[in-house]
Amino acid sequence: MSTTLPWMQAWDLVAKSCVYLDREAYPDYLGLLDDDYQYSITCYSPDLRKDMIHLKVNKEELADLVGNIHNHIRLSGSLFRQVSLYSLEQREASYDAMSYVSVTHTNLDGVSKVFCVGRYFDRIAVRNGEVRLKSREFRMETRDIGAGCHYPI
Amino acid sequence: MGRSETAWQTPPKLPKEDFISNLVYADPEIFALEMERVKKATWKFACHESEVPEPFDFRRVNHAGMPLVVVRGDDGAIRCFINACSHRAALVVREPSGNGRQFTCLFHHWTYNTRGDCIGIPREEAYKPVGLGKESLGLREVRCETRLGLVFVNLNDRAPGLDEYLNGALENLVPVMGDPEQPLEVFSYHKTVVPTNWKNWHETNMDPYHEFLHYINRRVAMRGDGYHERSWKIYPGGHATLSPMRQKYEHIKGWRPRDNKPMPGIMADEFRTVKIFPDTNIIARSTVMRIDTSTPISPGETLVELRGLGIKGESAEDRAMRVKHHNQFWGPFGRNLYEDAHAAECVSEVNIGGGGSYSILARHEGQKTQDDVLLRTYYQEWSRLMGRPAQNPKAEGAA
Repeated sequence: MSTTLPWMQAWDLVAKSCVYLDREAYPDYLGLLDDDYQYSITCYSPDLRKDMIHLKVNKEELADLVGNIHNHIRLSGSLFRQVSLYSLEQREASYDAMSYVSVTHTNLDGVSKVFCVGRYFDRIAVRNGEVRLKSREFRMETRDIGAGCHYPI
Repeated sequence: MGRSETAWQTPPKLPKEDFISNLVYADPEIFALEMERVKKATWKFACHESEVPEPFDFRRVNHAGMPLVVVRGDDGAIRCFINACSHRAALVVREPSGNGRQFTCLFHHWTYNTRGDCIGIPREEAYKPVGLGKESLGLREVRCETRLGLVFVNLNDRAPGLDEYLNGALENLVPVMGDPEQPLEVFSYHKTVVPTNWKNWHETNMDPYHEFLHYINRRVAMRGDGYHERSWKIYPGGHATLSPMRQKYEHIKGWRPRDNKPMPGIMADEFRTVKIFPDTNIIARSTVMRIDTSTPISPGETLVELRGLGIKGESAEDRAMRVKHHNQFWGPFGRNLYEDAHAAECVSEVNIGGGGSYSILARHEGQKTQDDVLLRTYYQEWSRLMGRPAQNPKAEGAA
């Protein structure tokens, strides 16, 4: 693996993104994102034998989405994202990072259960020495997440 | 002031159609009975024909606790079978979907073709002394008919035919789903077990009074012109349609009107819905469609299946637009799904625990949008099939 982006700098970015999402600190999360950021949640359906897109938004749409969470009845409790960065590879002017993700949901009674597992496929840009997320695809292995949720994983 | 135990358990002083006992949601004996008298006696939406587009394509489904497999045969006909080997009742098809010219049971390798014929029994000669042979050991075929691409099945060979059952309730979908030049296809499939009774789930589809629950609906639908003035059309058998309206998608920050490439036969921004008794709901939201249906697991658990549909063969750009519009409301990350599921869960938690006594279906608004007429009709049909009144569902023969 050859890269000029230090592993720890990429890891720090991915980890921060998870910590901010866990805390629902969305302004901080949005601060990690490039202006042309694209976010998606995808999975393969063995029922349809097709790939499916469950959510696909740009930065502005994502900001609108999280900015409206308080208006909705939403999944209560908290999500904890446990992430391991598995690979980091240079791709022209950016870097591709792949992380394994396990998300645990803790409900209001304090019961924790696996909510979903999958992988982050992140593209990372380096601008003036600072790293930003250019895109993230959360590729889910899990297909049944119960009643669902309407915020990013 | 609160009500005493006696007052709480006393039926409301309402016409009998205007309330039901909450035992219909929670009582195990009633649940078992409605599997026989309602679920197994009625036509069930199983899947869309686009899920088995090619000869030998198959798709597993469930109905009333029964594992089924829908198969497109070598002759192009769609058939349905109970997914059980004639030998020892093991699942014959284990994958959710696929393509196969024959199905071989993993247990003893009995083999069937896509028409349900048994075509292979290892060392068959050992059955000859008792007169058994392949010719009498086909899969159990289930009645299966397709209308507008919707594949329906019925476990009861003596039930009325599908057209008699539907009574014309699909008429509003003919322009949308019946155009041979623009066939539809499923692009999204999502299933989940919701901790609620199957009727509680379907009530979220039959009861627009609940739309105050949804932030999106409050802005997009209820601020639209004529929201409260729409009329329910009730069909014999408990099916219904609600007259269409144009909704205001631009009332959500960042959303735009759905005025580009609506589904066939649909106006820009139009909302159209059809309810098929007892468990299926079809919605068109201008540019995209959703079908949801449910399979009961227990009084307090329901498998909910949701499908999103676009136009087969459309451009990648058009499909992306429909997927986006679908996901704004529906799918596991849609902004409405959690709200409906959680509301149904909240009702069920009370009823399963015995905390609910009666549900009130007493809104009368001239059969307009938030009139409870569909809920009343639904439980009248339920009572007729059950042979028990929904107001007192433990009373056999009193419907």
